[in-house]
Amino acid sequence: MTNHKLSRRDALRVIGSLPILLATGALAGTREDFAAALARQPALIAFETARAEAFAAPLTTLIGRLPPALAGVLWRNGPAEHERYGHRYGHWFDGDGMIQAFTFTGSNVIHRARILDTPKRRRETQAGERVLPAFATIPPRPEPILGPNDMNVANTSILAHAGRLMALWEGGSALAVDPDSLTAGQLVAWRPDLAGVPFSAHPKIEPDGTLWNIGCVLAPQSVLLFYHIDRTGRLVKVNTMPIAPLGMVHDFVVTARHLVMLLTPFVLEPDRFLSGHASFLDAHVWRPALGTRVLTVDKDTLEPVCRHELPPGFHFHHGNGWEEPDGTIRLDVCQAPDPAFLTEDLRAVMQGEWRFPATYPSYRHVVLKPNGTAAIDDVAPGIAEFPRIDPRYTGLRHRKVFALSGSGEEGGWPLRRVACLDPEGGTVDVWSYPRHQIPEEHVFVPRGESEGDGWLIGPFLDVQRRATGLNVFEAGHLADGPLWQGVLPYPLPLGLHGAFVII
Amino acid sequence: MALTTKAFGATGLVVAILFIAIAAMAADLEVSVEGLRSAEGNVRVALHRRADDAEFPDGDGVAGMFRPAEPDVVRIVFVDLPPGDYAVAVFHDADGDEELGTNILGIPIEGYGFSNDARGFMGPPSFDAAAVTVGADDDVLSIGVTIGYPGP
Repeated sequence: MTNHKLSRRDALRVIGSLPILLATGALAGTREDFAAALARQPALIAFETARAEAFAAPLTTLIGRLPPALAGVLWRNGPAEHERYGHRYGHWFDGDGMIQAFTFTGSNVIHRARILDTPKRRRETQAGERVLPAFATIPPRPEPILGPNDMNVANTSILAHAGRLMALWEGGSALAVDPDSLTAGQLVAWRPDLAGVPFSAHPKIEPDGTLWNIGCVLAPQSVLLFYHIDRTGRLVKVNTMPIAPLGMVHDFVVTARHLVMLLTPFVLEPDRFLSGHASFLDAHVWRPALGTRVLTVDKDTLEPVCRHELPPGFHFHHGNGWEEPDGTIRLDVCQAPDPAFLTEDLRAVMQGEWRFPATYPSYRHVVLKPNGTAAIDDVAPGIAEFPRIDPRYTGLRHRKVFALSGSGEEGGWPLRRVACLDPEGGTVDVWSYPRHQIPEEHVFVPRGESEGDGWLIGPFLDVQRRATGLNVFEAGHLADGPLWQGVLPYPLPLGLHGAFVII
Repeated sequence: MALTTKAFGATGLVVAILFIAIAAMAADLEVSVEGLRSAEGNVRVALHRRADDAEFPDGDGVAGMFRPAEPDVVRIVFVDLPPGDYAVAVFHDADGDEELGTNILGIPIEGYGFSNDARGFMGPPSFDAAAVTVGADDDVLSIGVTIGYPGP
């Protein structure tokens, strides 16, 4: 890209902790810039807009044989409609969501996908243009929004619980999805007075089916919500907690007795967001002096019971958390020193800039003592993101975390490998993707009794082949490479999170 | 969101006369409420004027009424208004409880709208954005208000 853009990014780095005041309009991507960059850098196909509203095809086997016992559906979600009506969004996380199903029949894998026609997207269809603010982009002629669901692109994750399938986004309600047609249904209200209330994208399901989630409201008031939903999908309890200042709270952990969340010092200034001139992301400011506030909430009362403090850092995802008999809480987090990868790199790539100079998250382990002291340490060197665990160990002491990783020194897209980490011992197993393949989140599928006995399944984008593929690994032997690999006849934009539902 | 609206108790079968003014200096304001999704419940219309804009759109305003919801248009006329700036706040009281239904956060979950079809950003518009001027020489000023429904 141009020197002008580089210098602006450098300038942003210099101002460091000052409020990040980006001129959103000036940074919105254009189709022409991106198309020109794509012609020079084929890997940018990862951020091309979805080429159709719906897809369906079987995967062609390239390597190995499918394990006959592996039967189920890998559901996935992610921003996919980056361009519509000639308008290109300026950030990876802006795009309208696309639900995907990779159905394992025992002998082959069938892929289906469909753009989610959310109320937000239907309103834009009616207008014939993009008119609603997105996570980091305000369209040229924005319309006012009545509530968070007017921005809800349902593009972050997928929840399968109590026989229901829901597409999730951090700032709005869950969106019901029909598992057969992949079409969008109604926005979910867990109770009539919870209509229009956010239900975050990383709910935790305990081995007995109990579901816990948070919700995060940042404007006009700033409030955290805590949800307790039983295994049948019935809301047991909800509680709200006003707290300020507050920024995005993307994820949390559940332990035997608590919900624990780390509040990063990347906080929203409500007045800037409500002015309508700053996007949701641009209304956030990095205030490291706040430190990282740790909030522990009692599962029975859904009331906060204690707080810890950690040094400043920015994160999206946790691996897991658990509690020792003396009340010590341990949890893992993919933490970066600041949010530059989010505010800069993941915006620049949408304009065709294939360099990722920010510092990316590494895998870290947090210890919260009952006496109020807290500590955080690195688990392994290098980059780690998209952590997943054996779901049977949710809330229990775990020794295996599957994540995408990278050295940070390879250049280009920073997540190049799939790794198994021991939060108490570092990296235990790793496989490097070839340079021309970009891995997406890999999900663990249990098979035997012991932790980590199962398969690890994840898609990747093959830049040379211009096609999305899928790998199945023996989870205990990542270094052996995939035991099965299949490929689709088309490429798909890089997605975010998935869930495997065993049939 | 500060868009809670107290029920306005008094309703009349006839078009309400809201306050008495000198006839020669008065005009009527006709409000056509459009975009109702159903004929369930009532439409609540509140008229605010400049003097009470501090609480707009909360409170009862200077006049308000409930009318049965109808699928197409509900017309309401405020008669004999002295000249000045007014703003109209409307909600569709679909469940008939005479309150603007809100969720646990206080965000409306029933449809609502304002004169000039003014909209705030995740909140109510200002009085100025919704203000219409009733002039001394007007006979009848007709305005439309389109109801918007928050999801889901």
